[in-house]
Amino acid sequence: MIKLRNSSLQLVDGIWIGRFEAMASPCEVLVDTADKNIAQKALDLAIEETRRIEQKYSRYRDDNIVHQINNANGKVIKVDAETAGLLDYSQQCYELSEGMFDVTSGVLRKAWKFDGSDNIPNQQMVAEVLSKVGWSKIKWQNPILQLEAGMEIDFGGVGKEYAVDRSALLVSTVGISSVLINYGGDLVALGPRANGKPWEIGLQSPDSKSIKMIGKIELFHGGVATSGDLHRFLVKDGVRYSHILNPKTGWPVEKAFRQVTVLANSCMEAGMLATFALLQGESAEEFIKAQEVEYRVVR
Amino acid sequence: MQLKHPKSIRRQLTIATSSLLVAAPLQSTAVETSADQMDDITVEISRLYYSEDDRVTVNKTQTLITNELSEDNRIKVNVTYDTMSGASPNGRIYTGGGDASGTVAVTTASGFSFNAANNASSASKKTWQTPFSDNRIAANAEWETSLTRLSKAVLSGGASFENDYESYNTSGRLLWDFNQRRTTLTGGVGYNSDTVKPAAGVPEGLGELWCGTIAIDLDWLSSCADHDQVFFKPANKTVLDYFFGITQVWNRNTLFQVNYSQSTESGYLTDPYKQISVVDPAFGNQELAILYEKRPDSRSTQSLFFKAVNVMSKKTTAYLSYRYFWDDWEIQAHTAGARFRFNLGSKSYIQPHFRVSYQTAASFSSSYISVDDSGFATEPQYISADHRLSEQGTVTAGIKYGRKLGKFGKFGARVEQMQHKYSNNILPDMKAWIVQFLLSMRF
Repeated sequence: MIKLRNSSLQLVDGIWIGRFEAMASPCEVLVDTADKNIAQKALDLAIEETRRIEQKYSRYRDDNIVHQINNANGKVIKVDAETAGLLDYSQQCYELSEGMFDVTSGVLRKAWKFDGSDNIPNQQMVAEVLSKVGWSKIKWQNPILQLEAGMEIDFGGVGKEYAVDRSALLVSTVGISSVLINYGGDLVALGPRANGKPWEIGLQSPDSKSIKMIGKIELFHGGVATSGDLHRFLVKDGVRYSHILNPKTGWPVEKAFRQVTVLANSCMEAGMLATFALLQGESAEEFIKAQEVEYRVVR
Repeated sequence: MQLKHPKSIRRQLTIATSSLLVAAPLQSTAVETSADQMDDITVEISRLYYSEDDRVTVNKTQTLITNELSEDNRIKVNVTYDTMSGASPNGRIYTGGGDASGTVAVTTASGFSFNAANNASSASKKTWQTPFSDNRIAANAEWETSLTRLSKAVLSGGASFENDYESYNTSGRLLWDFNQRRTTLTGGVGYNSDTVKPAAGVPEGLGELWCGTIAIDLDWLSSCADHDQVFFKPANKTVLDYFFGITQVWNRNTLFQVNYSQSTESGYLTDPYKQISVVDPAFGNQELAILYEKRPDSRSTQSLFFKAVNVMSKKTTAYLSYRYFWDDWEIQAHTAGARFRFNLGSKSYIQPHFRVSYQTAASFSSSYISVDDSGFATEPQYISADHRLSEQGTVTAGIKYGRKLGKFGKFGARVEQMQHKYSNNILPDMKAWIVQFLLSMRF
């Protein structure tokens, strides 16, 4: 059992709200019940699962599978079933996005530091790191993985959404469906509120440092996720460089939308659709329309 | 890069996402960072004890070694050593001690040539016990190799040896994943070539083992004066089988599997150690003669197998299965089983299991051959009193405990009891115990 740290559980307007921090985000578990025990149980399960996933898949640790994969130095690695599932999923997302979503693209960070400054890398630096990017360069045959030395895998693009859906799956065993799980704006509702009404989700403006609400989403069931470049961009010569990088060119996606929010069956699905859309640049809205899902965009 | 014509990928993404969430187990397992370098060797040793009360005892020791040769290749070698002792019903009806209803006589399992004279002398005992022991050693090697990213082939070959039995087998299997790996199709063929070689050769079907003192007149029976059945040589049997299967991930908690298999046996399918009594009902089923049984020289069997796995909660997983078997000997068998796995924390589990089965008798299954008032009996084309071919049912209940040992080891223990009931009241009900221990280590 993992020790539960820094969590709180409070009754706010008739809803038990459990809070903790994980994956560099504020995390909330809202349970619409008067029964504190049930709410506590739901919160404990969510915390335990989220910490497990963070520990296992964070790229900031040196004691986990991601570290072992990224430091295998060209050697073959055999991964456990859960990691294999995530790699299969990554491959499917790579194929579905026609190469735009790529879990090997994390090394581009070495060239691009999105700190609001004007540090634009030169073409040579980008080309150098780009040679270590590309799902098609890795050998993946479940459960065997082989990366070229210098290549890296980063589940950062799916990790938080995965934690939301996995937490929901575990919380569903408690026997209550009026639950909303929200990890830093990526969220899922197991079912509507106890009175049968939807959860109201506020939509935040992508403007830096703003906490302005620019809209509202009503959610009965399913996942919501938002992709955007909040706080993360570069500006040079009046050009704003989004942090959304094209893994094929190594350069930011041109004319990227500021923010895309999608509603779907699960948080992961919503997150993937939002990310794929953002990667389409100015055709983001056309892409998301074709998916026949509810969405909000900010240009 | 922009899509010229945005297309809908949502359905495929939904499928991919739900199969990912299904695939990971519901229990939030303790933090594992299990990445292994290749060249893993896993050694698994198990020891099984099987005991039928007052009948057969089997000790089975098995060693399974799996070696990952490369990312695409894996070899498994399995060596099994069995020792068997005790006795099992030989098909004859036991009339010693004047028990007219008849008790079943007992014979050697195999590896010991039946001798009527010896057994006649022990007829006063409740059951006929002939001490024997036999052992079997079997070895099997399997090579698994990836063909493409989504398909692989498994080739295997093996042999097993007993004092009086030799078997060689080879098989090939193809597995193909598609539909985002939610569906797996399997197909394969197998071939067995066996030699039955009792010490004195195999008897001819319906050949006589012994004639009693009361004169009987069966014109199809070789003259009792000749007395001795002539044994010649070993006999051969071949089995060719093929199967198809499909495994489908249904939703995040459920998986289904369906397999069909067909098998064709030909050659000497008679059991050289099984006999049948010729009895006279007018004299309390007095045994007049003992004949060797006789079975057809071909058999075609088919079976359909269904399995469902459902993750019910974080702690509980249910496995349900059903098998329907039928053959051209008119045997139909149904077997239904259920297992429930309960996780006790992240390291251990207990798993109770239940199984019931029922089978109809083979068309030529019979307890004995009886003569009519004039001492006459028609020659059967085929006949066997083997209890395994008669109508019967079983109920099995057991429990398994499993535990992880450190990072690379596993321990398991299983105990189960099987109750056997035969519709034919000549065969006594039977109880068997199975106890198994298993230890697995990865290096």
